[in-house]
Amino acid sequence: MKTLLEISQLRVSFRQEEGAWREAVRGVSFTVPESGVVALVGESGSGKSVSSLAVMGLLPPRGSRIEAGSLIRFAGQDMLAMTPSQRRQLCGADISMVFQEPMSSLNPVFRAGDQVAEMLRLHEGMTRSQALERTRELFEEVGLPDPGQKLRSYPHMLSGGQQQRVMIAMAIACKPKLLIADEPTTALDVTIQRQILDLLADLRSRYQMALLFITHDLGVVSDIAEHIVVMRDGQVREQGPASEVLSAPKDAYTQALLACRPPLQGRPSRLPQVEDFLGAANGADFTGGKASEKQDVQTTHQRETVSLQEEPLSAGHQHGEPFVQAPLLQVLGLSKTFQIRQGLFGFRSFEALKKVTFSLKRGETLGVVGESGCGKTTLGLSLMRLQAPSGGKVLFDGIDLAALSETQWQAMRRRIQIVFQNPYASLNPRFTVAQILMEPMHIHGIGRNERERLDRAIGLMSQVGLPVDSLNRYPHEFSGGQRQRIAIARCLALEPELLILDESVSALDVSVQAQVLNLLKDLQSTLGMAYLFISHDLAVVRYLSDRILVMNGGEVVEEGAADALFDGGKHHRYTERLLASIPGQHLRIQGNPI
Amino acid sequence: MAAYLIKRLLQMIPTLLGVILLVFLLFNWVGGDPAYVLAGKFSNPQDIANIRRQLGVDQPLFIQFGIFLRQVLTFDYGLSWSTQEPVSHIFLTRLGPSIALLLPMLILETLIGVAIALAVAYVRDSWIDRSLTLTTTAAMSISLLIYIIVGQYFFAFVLGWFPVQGWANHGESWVRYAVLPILLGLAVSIAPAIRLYRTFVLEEMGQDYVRTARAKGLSEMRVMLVHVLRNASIPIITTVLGSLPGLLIGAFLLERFFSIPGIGREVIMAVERSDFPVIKAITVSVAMATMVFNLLADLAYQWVDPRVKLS
Amino acid sequence: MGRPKGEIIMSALRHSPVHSKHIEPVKRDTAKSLSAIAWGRLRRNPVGMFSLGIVAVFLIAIVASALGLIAQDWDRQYALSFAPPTFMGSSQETSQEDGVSPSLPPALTQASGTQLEMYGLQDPLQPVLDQLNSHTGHDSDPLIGLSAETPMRAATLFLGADKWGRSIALKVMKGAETSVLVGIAAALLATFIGTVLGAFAGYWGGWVDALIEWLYGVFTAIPYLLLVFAIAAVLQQKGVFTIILILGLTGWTGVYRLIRAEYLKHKVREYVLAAEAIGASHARRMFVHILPNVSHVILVQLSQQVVNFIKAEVILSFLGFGVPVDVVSWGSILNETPNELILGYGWQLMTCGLAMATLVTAFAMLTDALRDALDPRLK
Repeated sequence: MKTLLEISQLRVSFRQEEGAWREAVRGVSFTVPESGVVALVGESGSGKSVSSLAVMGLLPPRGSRIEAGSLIRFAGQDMLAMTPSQRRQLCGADISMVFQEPMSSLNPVFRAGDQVAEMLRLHEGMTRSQALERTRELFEEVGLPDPGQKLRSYPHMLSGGQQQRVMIAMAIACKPKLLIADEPTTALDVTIQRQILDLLADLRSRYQMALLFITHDLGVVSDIAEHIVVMRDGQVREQGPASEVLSAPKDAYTQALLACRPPLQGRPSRLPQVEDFLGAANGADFTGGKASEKQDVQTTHQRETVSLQEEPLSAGHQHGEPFVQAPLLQVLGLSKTFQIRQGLFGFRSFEALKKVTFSLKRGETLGVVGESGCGKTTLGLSLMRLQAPSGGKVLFDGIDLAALSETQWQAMRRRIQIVFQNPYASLNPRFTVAQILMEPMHIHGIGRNERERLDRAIGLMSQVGLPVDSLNRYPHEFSGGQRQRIAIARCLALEPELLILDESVSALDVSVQAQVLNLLKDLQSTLGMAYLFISHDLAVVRYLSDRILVMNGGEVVEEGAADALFDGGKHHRYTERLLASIPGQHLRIQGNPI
Repeated sequence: MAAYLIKRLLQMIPTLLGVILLVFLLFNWVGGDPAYVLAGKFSNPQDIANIRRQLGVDQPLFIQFGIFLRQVLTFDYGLSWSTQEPVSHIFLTRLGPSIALLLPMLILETLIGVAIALAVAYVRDSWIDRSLTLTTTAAMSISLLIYIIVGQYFFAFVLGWFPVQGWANHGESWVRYAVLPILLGLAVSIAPAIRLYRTFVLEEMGQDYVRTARAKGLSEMRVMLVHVLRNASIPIITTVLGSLPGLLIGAFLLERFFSIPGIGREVIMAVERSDFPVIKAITVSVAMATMVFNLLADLAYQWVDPRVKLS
Repeated sequence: MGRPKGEIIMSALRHSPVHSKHIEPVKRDTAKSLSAIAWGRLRRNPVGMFSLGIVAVFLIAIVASALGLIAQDWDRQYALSFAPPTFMGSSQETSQEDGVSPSLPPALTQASGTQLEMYGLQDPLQPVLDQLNSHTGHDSDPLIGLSAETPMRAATLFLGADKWGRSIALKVMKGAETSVLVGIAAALLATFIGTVLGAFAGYWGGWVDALIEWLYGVFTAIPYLLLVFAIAAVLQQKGVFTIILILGLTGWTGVYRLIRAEYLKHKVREYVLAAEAIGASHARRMFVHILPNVSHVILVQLSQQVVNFIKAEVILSFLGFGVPVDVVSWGSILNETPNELILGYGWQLMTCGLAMATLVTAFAMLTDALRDALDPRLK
């Protein structure tokens, strides 16, 4: 097959604040054949998005530069040698791009139809009415319901999935030869993601386009890619036909990426981590700036051997054993209704939680899974009294939480804690790590003096696996995974019995996610905490949980043992849809590749 | 829409009451007794008592408040303490020159400011951008006083290109009298306008939809003039409409120097002469106008930004 | 800390069973607080550092002037009326040239400064005058100065003299002291009020917010300078302190708006929710957790307000509503200049204008540089 896009020795640098230049893409080479599907895979900081922006000429002109020796050739033409106006003729017509965040990628003040029509009027010379007519056809092709009305809609009136369909319609309007999709489904719910992926595959075959698909999710890749390029730290680690790369990867990093995702079957006591594959010999891939999780481990400890077998846990509860004690947490008919202001004096009710009922025993992990808007986050916040419930009862260790006074609640706070989703927002940027850890101690009077509190902080740091000298540093010096550990350590300072994890690993890269999940498991076995694990990712939830609640529209639609979820038995309709939407299933269910 | 208007009008009432209360407390309570000031140097208790009675300041405070309230609602503030002219008449006749001076200034400032902001953003050259920032900062920092003093001296007195002082209400003479004050006013006000509009434009240029527009292959000119400008016009229009109230007295320095019979000059004279009714009337009226203009600005904002729903 | 750090780490490690799997190094040499980063950014900004330097020089001079170290005798009339600056050389026809010289009979302004002929009479006021002289230490009145030693009236001064023969350089210096101190004091007051009100309104919401918003609405319905004029009209006694109060009590609205918006934004951030989750009280959340994250806005606003208030004071004093007659400020100096220009004398305008432009521009550029340096765009 002929090569459509050729990238050779691409190097891109960005200007740092102090004035130095840092290479983000360091000699990347790969090709995209005509009508082929190439997936560019990597975690954050790998340089995959930067590479695609370089092709389109969308890198910021002042803060970045493409180094000499780089080559980008499209249909035989040297793109880097083109003038801006020559490149503009290509962009949109022969090469087009779909971005990650459809809401902000569409112009908020223009109607959806006009924005797509603009493409046709510019590149194909149509008149406005012709362009709108063709746009309506495009909207039908991409599966937008009621396309005529959508023509006149503004972006904010559409859902995330619909916005992305508009973006796709815009991208295929001029029948491009190459479509670049940069994480197009990452911001969408998993069921919508499935639909968009199917749409892209369908359009690709219909228009015989080449597709360059950029993602961090190997599962997504396995469904659609013909070729895979794996990137890390600005370099290509491995590339080849999808079947080969996925079943028999040669590179250690690729192996690690595939292995450290929570499997859909089996329950290893510990997820493999990238370090386990790369080993100490990999050297410091240190590209400056913050330390990243992909660092190698210090040699002050023994290396763990990679093991995927079931291992008995060192202490605490054995998986599968029934919990014998009285429940720690009992939620009975919990409801939460929001009043949203409407009109001059009116209100509209929104029921976020509808009579939710469940219980949780000591040391147990209950997973709560559902898509956005299902009420799972509201549930977590209501339990912590960060939001006041509208109805129902919550009993903790037999105590009715609603009946507590403010001072009693203060004491109760030591027993229930919460770890939030966004690691970049949950730590006070102006506090040092030491201050963050000692703050709960100050408030609750733990420790008799500063010295004792500091000792405890040191202990906490090592419990979550962070070096002690980090105590003097500020949150912005840490990566996402490290910040979540600090957040976990902050909770541990109060020695809670129940820890609510509200999408706590959702914002993390896959390899980092594995580390934090391992940490959570270890902490549970050591400290015996119960977990309420809220997430939209079924595989992750299943890995960590004993039981699972499936929520939709504020209600619990299904409850059962975690293992039962993937056993192929009969489930609630919604659960079935969720299960079917998980990308790359065949990859995981066939047993882990390594 | 009607419900929204009603809601906003209802919200304006407490604010208006607050303004009336503030003005009242200032002038009738803190300001107290101007009788001595007005009676002159040689006065006897009889005169003072007379004046007090005429002004109504011998009444208890809450009755005075009632009187003031009535004055506001009927727009009849009585007579000026210094010229004995009806205050409302003063206000209405001085309104024209102020607007005739400031409206052209506002229009020019907006047009030039937006044009320069767009040009700078289009060029995307850090040197030009930085020197523009320095220039506008320096221009803003020089007090309007100095611009006026030097400008009036040089262009009018020395060169004789413009009349030193004076005003005509319409026609060709108006142009003659208005040009110099408007130019001097622009010299100061255009700098912050450029800076502000530049910020608006640059903020929009950093948005994702601009990247999409470029990815579509649109020319930079089209990206700026169609996509960016349309979005940036939202804060720009809001700012322009929000500065309308300033039209009424913003040019007081210009009016004083050039002897233009506008509201600003009137206020200064009233303060010098402790002419309380005039100051009170102007303050309350301008405050009411401000609230109305803010409402208009909000309505315009909703009309211009499709994301905002009338709520 | 008693024990050496390494030992602390080792003992902590020994006591934790889970350490072995998760430790990773954090390769950094120095802790970088946000203030340290901001300072680094500012240092790399040449315009910012230059402006900082100019402002610092002015501030030092102003403090010296306020302490009485320099410009103490600014109102001493020891030069000829409208004497030109020294570097321009003197114009010889000094004694008769201006017909507007106030109060001094021509005979007394002789450049040679000869002694007045007393014809043997004793001046009955002489003992009183001597006493006064010894108290004030300098001649502040032309008539007092006409005792035994009539000082030579200078033909030129460093930067020229004003109508009464006072040194322009010293006047401008003293004027700087007044205007800048008013600006800074008023800015501190206004920023403080605006911050407190903004914090309460933004954090608490509800009726507290409604009440303060109402107050804000009332204050902003009236254009700022109009409000200041109105208050100036009402307060009969003037003084520097009064102006500071007026400017400060009316100028808090801009700061309030920004701080309220910041508190609204931060109140729902997860680190504040986390603080609530671990049990921090409202006061603690407002002032220990959120306030440091808002400090950069406060600092920039403070700097901006200093600029605004200096300009406002100048205008007020120019119009006569500002400082009292015996205090000199840049505004009162500028008040004299239009008439001087018509007579052909531009030194005072130039000196004062230049000094003002320099300081205010430098301060404004410093504000911009601060804003850039403090921009918390760290991930």
